[in-house]
Amino acid sequence: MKQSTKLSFDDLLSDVIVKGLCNKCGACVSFCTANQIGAIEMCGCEDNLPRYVDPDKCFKCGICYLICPQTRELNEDVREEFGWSAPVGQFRDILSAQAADEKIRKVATDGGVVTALLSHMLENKIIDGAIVSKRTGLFNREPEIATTREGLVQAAGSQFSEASHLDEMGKEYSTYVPILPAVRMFGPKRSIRLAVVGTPCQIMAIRKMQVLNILPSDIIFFTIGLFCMQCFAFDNLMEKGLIKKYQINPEDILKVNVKEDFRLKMKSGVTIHIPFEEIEDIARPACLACRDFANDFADISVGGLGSPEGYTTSMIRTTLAKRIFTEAVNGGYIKTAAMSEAEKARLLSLVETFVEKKRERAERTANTMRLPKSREESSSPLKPKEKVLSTGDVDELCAECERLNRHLSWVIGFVSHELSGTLGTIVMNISALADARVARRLDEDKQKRMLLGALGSLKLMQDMVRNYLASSKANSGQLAFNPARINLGKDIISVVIRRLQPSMKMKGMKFICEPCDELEVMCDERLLRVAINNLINNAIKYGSANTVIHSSLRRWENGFKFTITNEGIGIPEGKLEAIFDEFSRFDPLGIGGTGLGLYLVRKIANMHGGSIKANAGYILDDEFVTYETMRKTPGKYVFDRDDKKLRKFATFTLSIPNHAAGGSDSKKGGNENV
Amino acid sequence: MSEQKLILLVDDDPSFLDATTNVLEGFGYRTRKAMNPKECFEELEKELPNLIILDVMMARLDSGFDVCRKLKSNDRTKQIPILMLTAVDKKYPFDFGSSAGEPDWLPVDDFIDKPVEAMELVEHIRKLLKEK
Repeated sequence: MKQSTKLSFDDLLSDVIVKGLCNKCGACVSFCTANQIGAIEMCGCEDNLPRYVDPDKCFKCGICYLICPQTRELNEDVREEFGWSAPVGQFRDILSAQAADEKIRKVATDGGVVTALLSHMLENKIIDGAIVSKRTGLFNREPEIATTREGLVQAAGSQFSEASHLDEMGKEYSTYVPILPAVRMFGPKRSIRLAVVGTPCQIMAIRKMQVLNILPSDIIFFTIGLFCMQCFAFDNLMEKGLIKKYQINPEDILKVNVKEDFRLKMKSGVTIHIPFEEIEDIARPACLACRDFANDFADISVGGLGSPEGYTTSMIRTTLAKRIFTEAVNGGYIKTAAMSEAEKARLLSLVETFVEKKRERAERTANTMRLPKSREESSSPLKPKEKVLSTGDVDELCAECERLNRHLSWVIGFVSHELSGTLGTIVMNISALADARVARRLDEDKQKRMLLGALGSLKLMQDMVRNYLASSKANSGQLAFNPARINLGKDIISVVIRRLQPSMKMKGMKFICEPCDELEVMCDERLLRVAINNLINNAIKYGSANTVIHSSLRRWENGFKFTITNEGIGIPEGKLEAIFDEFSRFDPLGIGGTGLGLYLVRKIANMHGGSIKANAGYILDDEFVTYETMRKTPGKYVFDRDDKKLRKFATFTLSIPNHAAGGSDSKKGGNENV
Repeated sequence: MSEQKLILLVDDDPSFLDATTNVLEGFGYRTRKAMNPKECFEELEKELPNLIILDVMMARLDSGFDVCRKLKSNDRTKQIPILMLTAVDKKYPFDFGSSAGEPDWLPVDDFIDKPVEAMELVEHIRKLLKEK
């Protein structure tokens, strides 16, 4: 631990609180109160920041400064104590799980793992209580110690529920129910054991206190950390105009959740998705400066990110957590989803992506704000002119290397799995035809179909390899762009349709292009063929059997617009943008593919200075109603969204303007999505 | 002539389902197809098969593992032999000891690696159905 001298609450005021960096976690106050010093308190006013009660009582011990999650004095000590390793801290397992008790799942934001885990610990007397936040008004809540399952369930679905640190919104909304001062409720009774559910900064403060072995952290037995991107006041949502933009009636909010984006589930059944980017500038500065998304120092970290509906992503970090989690499973409190190692790797990769996003944002913030450094560091007379890598920098670099390595392993696993599946079909078909014991049992028609099946799989494999190579070239800037005048209908669409006809025939699908203008445009024929092929192939793969794929080709901006719509699995509202990401796939039927098809379409569109947009929704009485239309006309379309017979659709619009300026790569292109 | 035995094929790859169906029908079996766990259970409601061929990696969390556990814990279906297919090779060693302490977490009757040749699949099926 670095030695800091003569630190006091004054330093915390100047370095953290005045700069707007206070997390309001209450750690400083809880220490001061639990140790009967009583120099500071949470002000209880609108800001609810820590303040002096009586400066004369301050011993200038500096502990309030040391344990603040925004200061860095003890960071290395905490990392060392809890065996932190890049990029997401230590963990023993990552999986999706849910509460076995349906009552808990019903009120929980995701799978109810937090409530189930705490119920197990309470009912088996592993802990005496859990600090939860109890709802006291529509958007208000306050910390409370729950000592029964009923108490836990009452608090579930609010901030306390996993991944729902943004669950409650309101004038007073904040991630921080300042849970730590609640510990003082126990006064001198120090033999109890508590569990705490908290955001990364809250858990960090607890760990810092534990490193120093100071009260009241001694009674914190178990920590459940929430994944956390940021938090903000509900007022700020309104100031930002998001309430108007997304037509949110606060009284109709049923649930708030954070997964791949910020989600508001309304009583009507509609889920409103708000990308993090849109709420980033209303986050508190304290959050923007925070580098910890995955709650690296908790015993177990939880959130909705990456898990399917009704499940909680759970990162089991410590030996204690592993033991308790396993007991909870064996005791029938928690059910785990069966996951392959590849699926776990994918889940981890997603968490790492968000970890990286938050760290990058913290870097940007650090460049624009004067964040508190270690006192020793900032007072050092040795101010190197050249950049010298600090321990933190090395950690970051190591974290980045490990992240890239994991990503590479995941990509190799993904590609191997997809190719291997296709290979399975080829082997089955060819081996049947080659083995006389099998072939003699197949009539001529079957033999022909199997040969065609093998051929189709080989073509699919060829497509996959082509997409992987094209993606690799695009990412390294080596995808050549050679525009020439081409006839879209004749040179592209007809060729692609001819090629995909067998797949359509197999599913009993029809393809209609109407209107299909006779257009001659300047495009890269080879690239555009890949893009159109991927769009039509996508419509076939994810379309329902015996349906019609509608498309149109129209003149636009001296270029063209190609629109394609299919009935099938649709696209969830929150994935309309993300579906174009590399290796992104919405594939509830497990049809498989490269995860690169739409990514390449976007790349190719951008190289032509154009764009690709996805839209989706429901088919109600043969009317194609988009999510956007439903948002704009609330109440007009009333239907049961859980109805299994609901028909869904997806539409893609490829817009390519007249190519006059020559090729531009995706970075220079005019598309805002890149 | 004895009644044709019914095999339920559960795999997320429609091309593989078609290929396997052709082979199995050539050997006199009746087949039904399901592309995901939901369809699998729907098919089981209609008619109980003599054997289930189940792909382990159906690209979703409630895939092959979960399906076979459910089948083996249900009185109506637990007697049906399950042949599990996997495209997962040694690169993805499953943690058989984990999944949070469920000792009988994968109660299948036989395993076979994908890619599998047609005759090899038939031999496994015959063995499970106790045929010559």
